[in-house]
Amino acid sequence: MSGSFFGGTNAPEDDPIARGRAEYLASTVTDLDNRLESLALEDNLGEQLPEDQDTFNTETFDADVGEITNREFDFFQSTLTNQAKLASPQQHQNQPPPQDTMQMLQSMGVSINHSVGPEAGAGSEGVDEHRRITTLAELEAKIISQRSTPMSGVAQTVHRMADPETIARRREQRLEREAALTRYNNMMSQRDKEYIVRIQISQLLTDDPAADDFYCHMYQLSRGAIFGAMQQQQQQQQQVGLTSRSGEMTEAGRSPSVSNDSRRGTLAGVELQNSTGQERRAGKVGSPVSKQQTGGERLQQQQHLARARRSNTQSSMARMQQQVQRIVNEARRRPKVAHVAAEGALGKISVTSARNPKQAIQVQRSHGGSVSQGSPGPLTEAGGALVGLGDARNPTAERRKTLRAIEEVYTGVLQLEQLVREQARLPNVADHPSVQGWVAAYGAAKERAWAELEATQPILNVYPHPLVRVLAFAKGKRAVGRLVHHLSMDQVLALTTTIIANFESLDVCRVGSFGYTGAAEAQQREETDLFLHLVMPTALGFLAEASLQIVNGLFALFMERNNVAWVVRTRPALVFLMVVLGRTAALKQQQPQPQQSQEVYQAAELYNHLFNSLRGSLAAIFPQRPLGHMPSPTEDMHAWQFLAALAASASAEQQHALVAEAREKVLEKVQLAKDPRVPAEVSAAILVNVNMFLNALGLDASQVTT
Amino acid sequence: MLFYSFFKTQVGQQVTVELKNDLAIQGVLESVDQFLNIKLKEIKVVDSERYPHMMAVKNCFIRGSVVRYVQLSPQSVDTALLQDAARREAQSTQQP
Repeated sequence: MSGSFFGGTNAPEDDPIARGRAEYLASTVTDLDNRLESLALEDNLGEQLPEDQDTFNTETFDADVGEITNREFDFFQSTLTNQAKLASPQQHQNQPPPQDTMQMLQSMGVSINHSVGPEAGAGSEGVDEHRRITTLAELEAKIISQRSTPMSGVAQTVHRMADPETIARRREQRLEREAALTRYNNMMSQRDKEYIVRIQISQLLTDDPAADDFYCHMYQLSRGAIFGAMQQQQQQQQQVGLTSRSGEMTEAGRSPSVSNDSRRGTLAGVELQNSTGQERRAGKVGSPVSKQQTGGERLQQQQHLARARRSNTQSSMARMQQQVQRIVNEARRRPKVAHVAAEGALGKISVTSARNPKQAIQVQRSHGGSVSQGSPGPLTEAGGALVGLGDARNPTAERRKTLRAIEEVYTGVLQLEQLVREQARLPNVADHPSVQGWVAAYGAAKERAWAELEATQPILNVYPHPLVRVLAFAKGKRAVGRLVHHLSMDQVLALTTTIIANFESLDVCRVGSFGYTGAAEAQQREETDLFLHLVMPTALGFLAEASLQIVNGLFALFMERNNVAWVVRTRPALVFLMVVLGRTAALKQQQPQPQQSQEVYQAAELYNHLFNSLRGSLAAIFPQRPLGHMPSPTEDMHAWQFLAALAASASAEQQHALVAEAREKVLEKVQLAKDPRVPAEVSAAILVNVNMFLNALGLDASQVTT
Repeated sequence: MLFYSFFKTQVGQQVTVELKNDLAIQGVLESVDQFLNIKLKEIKVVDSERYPHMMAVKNCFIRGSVVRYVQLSPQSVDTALLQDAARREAQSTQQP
């Protein structure tokens, strides 16, 4: 133990106690400061410390093997050194810490030299004017007392941090954690990963979102289109590109399709906040040392990390987007086929993809009416009341046939709508081949749908008319309602004619709208509403534009084919008649010579005919409210409107007759409106309705005296 | 692809997934994939007393094959559009 480690110029005393004392006296805080710095820096993302700051193994680091093994390591001395430094952090804080460990140790050695000098040969005591010298016992006591006195906060943390055991322990823990997480990393190369991603994304890719991804695409168009269809389609590609690696559809990936930058920003921000909260990657956030930073520092660190991660995410997304673009282009070049037949092999191998998924087992049933399901059933049968009254011989078959026809109509409608969507993309030139192709396709689809309705022959032997049967179903009403947008005027006229000719047999008119109770009534009401909202408007709109001749023709047809007195109880009939009468009156006024034209004469004839057939049964127009129900304001609105229309075209004598018949009803309504039990807005509505009729006559409800 | 397309529009909505083992989980639909695997976040088990082990779970990934029902809110569904989409799907699968 004669040589010292570094340089070995001065042999310290063999007496360890004296040595320890000397070093205690002379120790600086420099090593401590270095340790602090190195600790703070070392936990920065697990990077390695720069050479000059790594002071942990300084005793052995630069030494040769020979030096270490030939000489025994002086554990005791180094322990004492450390302890001494530990015990006196405050005394020497003002001294500037030398960075170089050699320098530091040399300064120690130097001071040792200095202190050794005057104490050479001295025992446990020495006197130095500039330093407080103590006996060994006092020295020990001092160390112990300093250890046990409550130190200041900084000193305490310094003490805790500086304890080599803790440092080493924590370091090992961290390394162990990292090792556990990264033990099985890098199993797949980057190329492998890209390969898998390519396969998965190519399964999902759709060239034509309208075909494969219909619901989602249309839904987004209808619910949130800010920039319009084309841009949505473009963004669909990006949307697929931003799907995560396993082909999932996530919220973050959805954001570009909303095509609103601020929203994308907030979504990304939220995503990252969530990720910083939830995904605690080892060592990145919340490592043990950083817990001891102040709160502000930790926040800054996290923000910095979030920023780094965000840019990481963005760049990785950009990378994936490029990747997907490459895949898309490749997929476009080579269309995927559902069946692969190798050369020379017998048979096809079916390739399962998104477009050709594994089929569930399908049990084939033989078509045709071999299955008889009993009688059509009561009024509450699904599919419209009394719709089963088709062919008396085989009602079920008729029903199926009608349903099939409706589906054909729907197919046509869908094709037409798709073509209309594509129309926007066609070039404007009329004789461009694609335009002509489009026109042909459009016409074909329309014809197909139209043929199913069989509306061209208003009067057939078959009862009820196929169109009527189609309209008996709710989805038939919807299908027709959607088809009429695409029909020509002639076709609409044919449709209207057919409906009118067979008005009686329509399901909404069958037994009158007012004969039901309970659930059946609700269903009937629903069907009637559907009819009124979907089918009637086109017919009526057509009427509103038609000439008097056509109107007369239709009017005549209506009255001829239908039992007016009976059918007039139904709402659709009332609405229809009201529109006809109104239109007639308007056209009459437009005529240059009102008295002489044939059409006007005809119209007047028709009106009289109508009036006569309704005479005596006007009270039946009104719906019968079951006793005890509260009156709803709109329940007889259509009836009053009809009466108003009737009165508007009536002659004086006819008006008298009208009043006479409607008197009771009017009185009843006015009385009801004045009834204290009826809420104010309901009675007001009732009065409004009654006034519709009375005003047409030149009267008013207030004139009525009860 | 119809259901995948449908669930894509439900992303971000509150749904209740009932599994084949009778566990019902309510949560916000985070993502769905082509196998109808479902990722939920902010989950809450419907009958939480029976499943205490799920108390601390906040997100989950559910394999598509174990789902029995997915309960949605009606306002988020466009039924007419869904009918159209179903018709198209039926046509395209019948064509070959």
